[in-house]
Amino acid sequence: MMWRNHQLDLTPKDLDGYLRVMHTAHELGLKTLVYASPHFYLKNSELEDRAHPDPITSPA
Amino acid sequence: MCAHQWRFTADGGALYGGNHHRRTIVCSDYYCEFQGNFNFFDPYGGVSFFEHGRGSNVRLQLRRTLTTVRWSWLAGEVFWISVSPPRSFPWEQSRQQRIIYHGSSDDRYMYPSDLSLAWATKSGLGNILYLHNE
Repeated sequence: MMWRNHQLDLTPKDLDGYLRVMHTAHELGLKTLVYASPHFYLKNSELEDRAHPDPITSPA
Repeated sequence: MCAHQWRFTADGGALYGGNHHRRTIVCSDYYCEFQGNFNFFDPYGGVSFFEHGRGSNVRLQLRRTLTTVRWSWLAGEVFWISVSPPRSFPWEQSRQQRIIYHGSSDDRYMYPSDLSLAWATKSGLGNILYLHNE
């Protein structure tokens, strides 16, 4: 997964890499679209308590 | 004497209000139905009718070249009709907007390199970067 916790926190896991790509893309004149799945994102929903934290990258 | 009211919406939909039995005749290559709602399509698009199960006695009659559906509903009921596609496809825009796709699982959850972005841009491959971040 590219997010820190794809069901609860849409912060890029590799923030430096994400910012690098955005910076380079804009320098090259590219428009950017970033997709995150609304299907799996459960923050502030009725199903938030069923979210499974990403085992490696989620803060303790 | 009967009264008919049509109201067209900006998204390709229309509402029909009437006060008597109505028969609609369409010629289509394909249809599907669900509780009185019907979709009819051919290679150029389609038209859909939605009565949301309020009516009764919806009758479909299939013929070789003509399909007929008859709905009945009470005065004041609203009948939804949707036409698709609501506008012609923007072919020229689709040629101008060229999307570079970079997917996370497809690309082992790694971001594209600066070099690959520069190559894709300067070779004319694309002008929009789409990051499919899973």
